[in-house]
Amino acid sequence: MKSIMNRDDTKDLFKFDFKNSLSEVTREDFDIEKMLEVADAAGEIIRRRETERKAKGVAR
Amino acid sequence: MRLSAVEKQKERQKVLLDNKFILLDTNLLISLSKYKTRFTRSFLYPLTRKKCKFYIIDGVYFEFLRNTRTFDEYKQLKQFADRYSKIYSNEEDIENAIRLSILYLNKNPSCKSQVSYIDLLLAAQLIRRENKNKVILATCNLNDFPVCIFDRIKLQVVDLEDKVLTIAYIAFNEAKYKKCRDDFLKTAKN
Repeated sequence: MKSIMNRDDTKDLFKFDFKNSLSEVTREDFDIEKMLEVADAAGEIIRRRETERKAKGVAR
Repeated sequence: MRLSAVEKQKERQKVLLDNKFILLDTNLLISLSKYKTRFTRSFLYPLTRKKCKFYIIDGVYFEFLRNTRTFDEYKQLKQFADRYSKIYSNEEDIENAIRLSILYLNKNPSCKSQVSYIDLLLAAQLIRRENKNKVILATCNLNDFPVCIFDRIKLQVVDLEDKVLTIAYIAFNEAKYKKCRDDFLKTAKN
């Protein structure tokens, strides 16, 4: 692939056939139950941040 | 047995998301952690039954973990984000992000708000992974994936009691991209 640094102008940037460089995604397993085990802790942090942001907004 | 047009459309809708690789935007990752029960029931389980697999790109991983203030916060958020398989951006994705930003602006010159770099990288992944549209983006951000290049193949409303979220399932449309690119090349000034 021609490097991004070597494309001289915008037209050159669009001289590109993405069909030549298609890339497949490897099929990987996803375990919902394992995700659920750790979701509460992450969700709690996100909620706490949102509450803090809202409180700061009110203070302003 | 002959199916009516409506029945045919329903049949098409049924298989639309079968066996897909679903890229999750940061807003969905946040909602999945905040509203895990509702989202699991209405989003993850139905797609898992359709044999879909879930992925996040490196940019979404970064966006989810950024601004952590304590080791514990980082650890908890990382544990959650690490449950999803990662897809990494490469030089070509950055090029595609630049191409898309140029095309977006050309299509809508008056648009003042810029699409974020991470949304451009997500869109670039849809282009590079375009293989019979097996890779689909799930996002609540409808505006940053314009229909002049992408298809909204399905919209899903999720009721979260305190608010209602609309999830858009976005696929790359090669014909639309080419038209947009050709229009740009015809009108572009030196």
